[in-house]
Amino acid sequence: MMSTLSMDEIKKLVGMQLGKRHVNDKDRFVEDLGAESADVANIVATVEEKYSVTIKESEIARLFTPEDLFTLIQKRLQ
Amino acid sequence: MSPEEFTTLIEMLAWRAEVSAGRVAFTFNGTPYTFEELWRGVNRCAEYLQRLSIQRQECVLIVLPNGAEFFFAFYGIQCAGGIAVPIFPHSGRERILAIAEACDVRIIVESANIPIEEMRQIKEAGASRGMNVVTVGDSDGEMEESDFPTIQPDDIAFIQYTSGSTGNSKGVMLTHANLLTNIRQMISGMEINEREIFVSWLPVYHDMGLILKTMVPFYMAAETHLLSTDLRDVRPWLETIQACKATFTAAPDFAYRLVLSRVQVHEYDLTSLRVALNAAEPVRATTIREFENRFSLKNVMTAGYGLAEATVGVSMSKPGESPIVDVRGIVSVGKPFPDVEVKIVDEEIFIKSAANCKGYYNNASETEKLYRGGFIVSGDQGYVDENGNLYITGRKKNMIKQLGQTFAAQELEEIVDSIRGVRYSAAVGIDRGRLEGEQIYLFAEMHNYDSPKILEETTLQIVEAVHARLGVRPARVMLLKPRAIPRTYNGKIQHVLLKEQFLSGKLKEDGLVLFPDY
Repeated sequence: MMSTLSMDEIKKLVGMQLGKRHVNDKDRFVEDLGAESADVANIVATVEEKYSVTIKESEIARLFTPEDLFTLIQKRLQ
Repeated sequence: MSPEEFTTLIEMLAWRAEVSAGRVAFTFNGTPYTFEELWRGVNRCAEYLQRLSIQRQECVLIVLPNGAEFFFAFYGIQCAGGIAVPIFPHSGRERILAIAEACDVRIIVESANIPIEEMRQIKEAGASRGMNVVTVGDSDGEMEESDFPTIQPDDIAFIQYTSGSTGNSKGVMLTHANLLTNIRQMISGMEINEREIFVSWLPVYHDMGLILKTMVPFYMAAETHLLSTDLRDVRPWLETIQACKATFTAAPDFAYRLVLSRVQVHEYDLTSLRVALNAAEPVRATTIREFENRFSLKNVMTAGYGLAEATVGVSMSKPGESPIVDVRGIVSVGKPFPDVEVKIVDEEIFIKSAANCKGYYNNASETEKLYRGGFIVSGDQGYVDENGNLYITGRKKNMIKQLGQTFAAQELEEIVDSIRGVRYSAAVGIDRGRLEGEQIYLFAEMHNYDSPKILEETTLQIVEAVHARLGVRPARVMLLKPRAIPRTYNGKIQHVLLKEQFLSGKLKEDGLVLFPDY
């Protein structure tokens, strides 16, 4: 299902995936939020499904924060 | 003495320290450690543990990542007569303490490289349960002359914890004799010799990385290069294979898939490899084909099968021969190693070997279920073709394999069921054909679902609880209406049907999904 994109939506989705109540725009997935690489992959998979976009493996390697993720999807949806 | 005469791992290391003293036992991230240095570190730890009054066959927990300290602690415990219990160092604190309690641990060896605050909390949590949390660095200082006990072949060397449901943990007991038997079986079956050059980035606190990639080379004094395990970066692994002209490496299928997704054609020269073992997960024919194509290799990737209850290795396809793939596309894991007998009973794989474990620690009921007529009941399904090649077709027990780690569905379900508001739950392993392979999906029926806030909070609590106990997070938590999870007439969860209903979108079509909306 397509959803409207917002930074808050992304942060909520990241929080749900990692079990965190508070997520900031610039929190780093691994260092600040304690994600493992599999968690990052699962966040990406969830985002792909929610917004019906595809993210390449090479792009995943450059995703470090919710903000990065938001920017990438925004670009993809335009 | 010769390696064939070793009766314990401690005898093996002591002998190596004598005859191969100046030889490099292993390198870790490039730093070499000789057999003499290894033995000194082991003795130091053993002596320190004696000062802590370690008893014969007392379990000592090791919570350490890859590195020299791991080996000092692992063999130091054994040298002092104890039993080493290595666990996944990122395990949540609850899991660490649950395992510690399951094997009556008094001493926990922790890494000195964790944040001070975290260490304080761990020490406090340990102290409140009468446990002493120490680091390998604590053993530095003047060494006293000490007499170590004589270790017997039937002494338990270490316990490998596998998944079990809550309060029913399964620690596989492996004796020195079990380990030396399997080391010899693998050396013979995999045609390994002392000129082999091993490279491994597998975790040493898990059986394949520990036994195949470190005990086998120590046994033969073969070159072995170890790296930190870091799934975010596959390059150091490939760089080391190339730089050291490695002949033998091993990893689960997903690690090779990761390489394929990140590395371009001919970026690395891996042609020195004789064997790239693919094991600990279902082996995909596409992975073998694409990996060999990408690096211009031929018949180098072998498919292997093993389980902790048979020490580790059971079978491997023959190096240098083309992979054997059946009509369904299942890659054969080869013929069993010498002196390993495999038979199929009602589609299930049974194994008889001198490397079969002594059972599960402190768990007589699960141990009894493990054996039937001298064979281990593996829980894996498979068949043997007319040429004696083994194929793994599935799992009889309800287990989920996520990135090489195995979890019992029941264990996950017990955690989810304990969350307030959840009336019933089911855990399923789903491989959606993506890079990361099979992942944990959790389905929870809710008592009350009026407020979206409650649904979000429940999701958070489920993720938190699973992470605290198991050190991993589910790929997805789906909250469902009551009675959405399909059950048989006698109330058993129909995991396969649930998976189908989720993947086909039927759960959503039938309006059974409460949260999330994707």
